[in-house]
Amino acid sequence: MNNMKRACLAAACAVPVLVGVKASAHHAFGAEFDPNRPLILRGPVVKIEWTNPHAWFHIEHTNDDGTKTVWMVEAGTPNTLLRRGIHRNSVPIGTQVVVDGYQSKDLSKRANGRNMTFANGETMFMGSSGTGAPRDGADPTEGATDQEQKNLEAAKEAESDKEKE
Amino acid sequence: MDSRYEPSVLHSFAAWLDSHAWSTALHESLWVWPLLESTHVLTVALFVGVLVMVDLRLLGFAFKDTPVSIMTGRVLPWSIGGFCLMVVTGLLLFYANPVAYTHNVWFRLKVVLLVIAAVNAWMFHRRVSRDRERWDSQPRPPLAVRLVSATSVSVWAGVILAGRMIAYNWFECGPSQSAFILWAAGCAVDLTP
Repeated sequence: MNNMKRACLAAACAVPVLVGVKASAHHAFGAEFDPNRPLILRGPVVKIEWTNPHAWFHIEHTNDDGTKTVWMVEAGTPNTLLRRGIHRNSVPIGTQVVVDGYQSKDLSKRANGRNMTFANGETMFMGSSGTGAPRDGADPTEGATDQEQKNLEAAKEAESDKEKE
Repeated sequence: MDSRYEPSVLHSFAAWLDSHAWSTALHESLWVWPLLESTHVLTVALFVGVLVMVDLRLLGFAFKDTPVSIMTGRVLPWSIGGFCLMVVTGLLLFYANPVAYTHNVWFRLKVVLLVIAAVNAWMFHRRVSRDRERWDSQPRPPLAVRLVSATSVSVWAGVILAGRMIAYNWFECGPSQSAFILWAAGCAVDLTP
C-alpha cells in the first residue's frame, strides 16, 4: 500500500512536469505549421495587421516563374515586436523584406515567421518564443540550435573517446 | 444552432461592433489585451476551481462532513467575484475581435456550452436546492443534486476546452472547409471586405 501511495505521488509529480513542458507553448507551432516546410519569402510588405494575440505581415513574394503571391506571415504579439524595436510606424507599407519561416500545415499561403531581414541587412526575430517551433537559431532567447547541440555532443564524444585511448 | 445563429443578424452585429474605434484599439493594444487575456484565464481558474470543489462536495466526493450551506457560504463569494471579472474580461476580449469570434466554431461551441451551464445552474437554484435543508448535512446528497453537479463539472470542462481551441484556425471560413463547418461557423456571409 505504501509503495502504491509512493507511486501515485511520483506520478502526480511527474504529470505537472510533463504538462509543464507543453504548457510553455503559448500557441503551439506544431498544431498549425509544418517544421518540414521551411520557406523564404522576398518582397514588399503590403499590409500589416497589428493585432493580438499575433500580428500578421502580408508579403508579396515573387515566385520563380515571375508571378506574385501574397503570403500572410504570423509574428509575435504587438507587445513582443515593440520590445524588439518594431512598432507600427517603423515598417512602412512597401518596405522590402526577406522573411524566413515555415508554411502552414493546410498548405495555404500562410507561414509562421522566424527572421525578418531588411534592406540594410538588419535582422529581427519576428516570432514568439517557446511555441515549439524548430530550434533553428532564429530565436535569440533559445540558446544553441539543434545543429550546434549535435556538434557539441559530437565534440564531447570525440573527447571521451580520446581519453579512453 | 439553427435560427438562433441566423448569420446575417449575428454577422452584422459583429461587424457593427468591429467598426468601433475602441474595438480596434483593444485588438491592437500593447498592454490591455494581454492583461485582459491573462485576467480572463486567472478568473476562469478561480471561478471554475471553486465551482469544482463545491460540485465535488455535492457529488459526495469531498468535504463530506461539512454541511453544504457552510461550504458554499465560505467559498461562493470568491466564486462570484471571479465570475464577474471573468464575464467582463471575456466580453471585452470578444469586443476586440468580434467578427472572427462570431465565425469561429470553437467560440460558438463555447457559447452553446455556456448556455447549457446557465440552464443547469438555474435548475439547481430553482428546483434542486429547494429542499436543501433535507440533505444539507448528508455526506452524499440525492441523485438529482449529484446529476446537476456532474453536469456542471463536465460542461465547464467543455467550456474551457472549447475556449482554448478558439486560438486555432483549422476551421476558418473558406472554400476548403466542409459543408458542416461552413454551416457551424455561419460562413454563409461573404467575409471578404
